[in-house]
Amino acid sequence: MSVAGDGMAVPGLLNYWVAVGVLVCGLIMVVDSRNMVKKLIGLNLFQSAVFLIFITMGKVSNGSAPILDPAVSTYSNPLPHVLILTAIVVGVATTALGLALVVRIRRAYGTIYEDEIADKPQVEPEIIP
Amino acid sequence: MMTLIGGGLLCIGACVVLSGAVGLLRLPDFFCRLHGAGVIDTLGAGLVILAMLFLSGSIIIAFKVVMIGVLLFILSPVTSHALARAALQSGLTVRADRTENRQTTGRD
Amino acid sequence: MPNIGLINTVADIGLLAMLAATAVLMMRSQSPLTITILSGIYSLIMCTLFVVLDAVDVAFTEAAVGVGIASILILCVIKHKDEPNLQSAWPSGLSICLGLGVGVLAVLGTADMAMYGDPLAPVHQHLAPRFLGQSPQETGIPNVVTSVLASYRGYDTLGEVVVIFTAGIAVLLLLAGETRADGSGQHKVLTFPAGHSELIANPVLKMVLSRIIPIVILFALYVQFHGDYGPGGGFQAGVIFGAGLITYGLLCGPGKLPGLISEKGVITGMALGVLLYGAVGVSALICGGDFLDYSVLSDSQTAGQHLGIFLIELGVGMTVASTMVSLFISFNRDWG
Repeated sequence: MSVAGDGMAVPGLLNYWVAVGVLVCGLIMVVDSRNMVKKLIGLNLFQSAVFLIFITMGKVSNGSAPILDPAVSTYSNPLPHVLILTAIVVGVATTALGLALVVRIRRAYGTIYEDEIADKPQVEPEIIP
Repeated sequence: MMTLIGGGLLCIGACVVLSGAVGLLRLPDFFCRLHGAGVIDTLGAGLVILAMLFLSGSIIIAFKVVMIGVLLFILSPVTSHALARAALQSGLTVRADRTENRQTTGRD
Repeated sequence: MPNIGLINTVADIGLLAMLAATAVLMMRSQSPLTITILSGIYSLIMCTLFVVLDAVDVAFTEAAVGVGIASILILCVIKHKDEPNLQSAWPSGLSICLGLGVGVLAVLGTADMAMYGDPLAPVHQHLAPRFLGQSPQETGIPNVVTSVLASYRGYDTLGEVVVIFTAGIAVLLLLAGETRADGSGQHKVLTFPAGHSELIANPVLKMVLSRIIPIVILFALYVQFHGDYGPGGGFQAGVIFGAGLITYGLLCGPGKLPGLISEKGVITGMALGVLLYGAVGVSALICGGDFLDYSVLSDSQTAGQHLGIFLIELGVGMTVASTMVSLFISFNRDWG
């Protein structure tokens, strides 16, 4: 690892460590929370920590965004960007699916808290039209 | 010369944003805090955008920066207004007494 | 000449600190509303961090999706009565132990990763030089992210678009309005709950936003058709287009939205986008190439690639925009 004068070595693995910290926060939110919306947001947090790991891998020191220009010679790696770009949009679509399930659970049980659902009968039985 | 002016404006803008952020944290009640946010949105962002105008090399980038500035100048007062109005609607009243106000907003 | 590397490092560390602080606050907070607002802030910090890490296209997407659409969708779902008495609390010891265990293992795993920005890292040795070196000759498009997304990995992107389409359809099925067998009374009347009517009546918002929304739509079209040359493309444009329409829905009540664009139209748009994407692939087959090999679509290779990428980005944009609007309409139907 060359320590050039551009501060390249300073962040080192810090990005990955913070991403792991965020990932742990997301995991704890999913495991610990009774509120299903909070669980879903925790899942999102977990997911975006993975995004951060991928994008950090694509960074090249003193590189530029991968839009080709005659004036620039070093570019960051475009491949992680492509993977994560699509993953973000897919992520919001799947989050919406989870939220739709939460809406249906609320319609059936009247609550979005897990422990309340466990000891509650369905308040409004579903009628399939 | 352009770089110098741009850099100077950028520094002043950063100071304004910093003071706005301190205000956002330290001011006693919601409406006062909104003032802090307003300072960041208009003067802080305005100065930073002006600085970018000086630093942008080409006319196309300058045009884009101006567009962002115009949008920001229209939208940030509107958001401040909408926030204040929503707060009034949900029952947060403006009070002269500071201590009482702190209790009302102590939740956040 | 300022030291770009140093500025980059300082920005990176500062943003990481903010990111970690926001994540811990989100973990501690118990109020769904607070967590939603914090997740918007988190997305904004993440988006800035992506810019520092040179991923401008990703930052663009994160800004439109995380800050805009995701927050609005969650706000549509949470209700005032969900607010707990307790505002914030540390999670239980058991889950913290589990989290720490996973965290320690993951940190041990990062020992094998390359250092930040190392140009000799294995990631940068195989596909990236090929894409960066050959893409101008093969596709003639300056934005390598667009050319990889739409051309080199076109098959993968087709899969992603189908996933978005499927998720949209699943939400529609889960939250379908009450339809009668005779076709009358197709949809519930969509109205905001009482507290939100003020947003609709607010003249300042109406005045300003009704002039901003066309600009947002125009910007979405710019992002769609300029994605070959700058950051942007179908995914971002679709989300921004959808956000424009959703703003209109928030402003005038979601009930007005079906008057502007019929729900059938939205669903047709979702399907048409995927179909357009698939049709481009099949026409490449018919012209004698491989599936999604655009080079055969026109006289020269780059012209064919241009045409193919333009069409499939259009398909992506249509599907994404229609899905976002459809999600918003679905979630607000429940309010009726």
